[in-house]
Amino acid sequence: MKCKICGKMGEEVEEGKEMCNRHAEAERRLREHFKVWAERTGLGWQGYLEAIVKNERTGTLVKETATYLLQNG
Amino acid sequence: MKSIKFWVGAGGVAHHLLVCEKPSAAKKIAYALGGRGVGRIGRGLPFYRFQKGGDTVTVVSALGHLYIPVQQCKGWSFPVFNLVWKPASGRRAKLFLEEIARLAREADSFISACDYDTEGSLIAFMILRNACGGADAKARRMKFSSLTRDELLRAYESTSELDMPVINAGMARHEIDWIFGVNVSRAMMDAYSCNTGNFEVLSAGRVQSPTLEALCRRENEIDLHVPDPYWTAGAEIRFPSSGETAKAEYSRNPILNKAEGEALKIRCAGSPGKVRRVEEAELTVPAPHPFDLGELQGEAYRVFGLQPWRTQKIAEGLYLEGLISYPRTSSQQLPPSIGFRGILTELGANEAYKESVSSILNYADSGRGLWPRQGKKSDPAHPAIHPTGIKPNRLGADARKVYDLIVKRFISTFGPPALKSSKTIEVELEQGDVFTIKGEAVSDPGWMEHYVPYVKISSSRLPEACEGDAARAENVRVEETFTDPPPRFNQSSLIKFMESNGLGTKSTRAEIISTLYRRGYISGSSIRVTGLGRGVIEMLRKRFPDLVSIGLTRDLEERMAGIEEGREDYSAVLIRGAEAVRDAFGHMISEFEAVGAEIATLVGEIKDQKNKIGMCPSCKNGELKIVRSRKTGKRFVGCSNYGEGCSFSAPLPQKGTVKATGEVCRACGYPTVLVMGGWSKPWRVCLNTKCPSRVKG
Repeated sequence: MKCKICGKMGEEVEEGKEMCNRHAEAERRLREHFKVWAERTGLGWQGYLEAIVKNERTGTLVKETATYLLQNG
Repeated sequence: MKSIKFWVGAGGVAHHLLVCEKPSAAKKIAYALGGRGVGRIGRGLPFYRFQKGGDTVTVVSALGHLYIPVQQCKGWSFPVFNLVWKPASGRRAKLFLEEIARLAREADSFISACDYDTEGSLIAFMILRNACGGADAKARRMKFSSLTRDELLRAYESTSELDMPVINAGMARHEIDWIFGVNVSRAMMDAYSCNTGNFEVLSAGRVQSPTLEALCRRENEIDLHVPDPYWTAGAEIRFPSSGETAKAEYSRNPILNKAEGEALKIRCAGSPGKVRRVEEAELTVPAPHPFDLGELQGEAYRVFGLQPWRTQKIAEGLYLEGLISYPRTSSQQLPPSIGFRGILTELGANEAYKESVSSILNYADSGRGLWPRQGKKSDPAHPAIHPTGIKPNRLGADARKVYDLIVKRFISTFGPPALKSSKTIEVELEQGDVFTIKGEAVSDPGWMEHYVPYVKISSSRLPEACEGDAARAENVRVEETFTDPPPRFNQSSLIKFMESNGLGTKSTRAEIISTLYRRGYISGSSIRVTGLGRGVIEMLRKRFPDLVSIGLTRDLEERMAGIEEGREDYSAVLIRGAEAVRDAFGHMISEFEAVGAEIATLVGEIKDQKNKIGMCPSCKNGELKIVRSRKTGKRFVGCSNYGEGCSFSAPLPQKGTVKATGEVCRACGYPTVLVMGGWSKPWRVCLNTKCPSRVKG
């Protein structure tokens, strides 16, 4: 199975998952931080992802994952 | 070369051979001990000879390490543990050793006069044992911390036995590093070669790999950073009584809710209030302690932007000139035996330091005494870095800067504490919101005036206000900001990290960082791990987890320090290091093919990445790559959509290295490449053959 974001294959992509371990971790962190954003800004999931993609402090992996989720979410 | 027979005293007169670490140190030591009677003999490989107390003294130099650990038998295999110490390769090293051996045959007493540290002790020991026919058994040691005449004479008159625990610690370090470096690097290169039939230089090391692993972990945290929003509020507070204004911060920053921030802004804009509290305090800032090597590197990076390896090299040069004490020290303490007053008086002869020295001596004579502020760290071998008092003649620009920094820091350590006064004014607005105005000013610069321009003597003026005074909030602002990712390491902070985690020694850390740059594992002054560096660490983490762990490296460092202090046995530590490598290989060899495939994929990806130039300007969705013609073998730029009909191509120079710039041409929008060769400055070339801007970059 290939990672849907970076195309990496093999043991880095767990059975039944569509992302490699690093992008899966980025997605986990994105979902975890959404609670903070929702509470502080009142943004919905879509608006949150857009803000994350635009933010210059966002990590590369998180940005890639957020972009993927926006396009395929 | 002049015959040495002329110099040798007759009948029972001793002939001492002094072995120094570098030619410049040999010269300095010879003239310090022999004065005007020194004869310089030979040209390419000079040695120095003089008479002292009726004895003949010959001073000869090494070239750093003239013996290195190598594999005992021939052949390329791993794991290998059978190493021997052999002469370093190279014509110069061979000539030096032959000359030392010849001079040793005429000497009957031997003295190690190399730098007084682990490396220096080991350099002299290997030469005495191997080139001087086992002279290590009867050799003596000169111990000194600076190349000044007085200190060298004292060291010559009071030699001691060779410091065997220090030598054993040095040997253990070199041997363990050899076992780690050679085996892991060979394993990686062999696995790659077996898989692809090609050869690629890949390296790993006992300290290098855990350092790179720590950098990768930081890089990963930055890549996985999700910024969280928060808000900070501030205002300008006007005091109608004086008409003055001051910037104030909201006392309950950070605000964790957007709506709350917006409400605060509306509530406070133009709101009247009154001064609730005024607090003034005085703060004492003690003088700084003197530099150890790590602190000097950190400070030179902060004030001059000098890379740590460069600072170390400059400091070593200043030491060899006799201008400062031995720089490879962990000590932040200065013992009175170095002669504080003498050094300061000599520094005072220099116009640049005259005023500071006179002020310090007056302060000392006023009853306080001449005592420097001592740091926490100590080093049994050397004091903290300090000037010797000798006036420099001609120094390069960077050397002058580092020397000035060391001198000013040394002078400052004797200075009185600086005094800072701070003032806090709290203003409560009508609705109960509190804004705070803070200011700080240096009221008595104390030691700071001797450390200018490396310390800023700040002052900020605060309005005069008393409790109960009327105030008004103006220009209320609420700013949205976000949590930052962890900061990237720079060379200075990486050295501090290595120091606090027991990675490497004070002498090796800067060199290890340089190696990581040279291998292409890291880049930039704000350090980024490259794809190659990340890939190597991922593979090592999986296959040799122990070898990238800080724990194992720290354990070995502690054990090696134990040898030096007489707590640990040299052989036991060596066996521990070899066992760690053997255990790691037991696991790796069973998966040799998989390792090879992993490295091949990694190297392939890196090469592929290197060949990518940018987007195709013709078809707009293909990727431009450097390719070689199967017919002619010449390189050019082609589009990845060639099979789908895109025929874009661009010629490239056939000599030199071609690198993508990642930028497009300002004139025509085509991608550009950088062509680098030894014959000229790098060229920036636009891929558009008709572009008017194809000029040197």
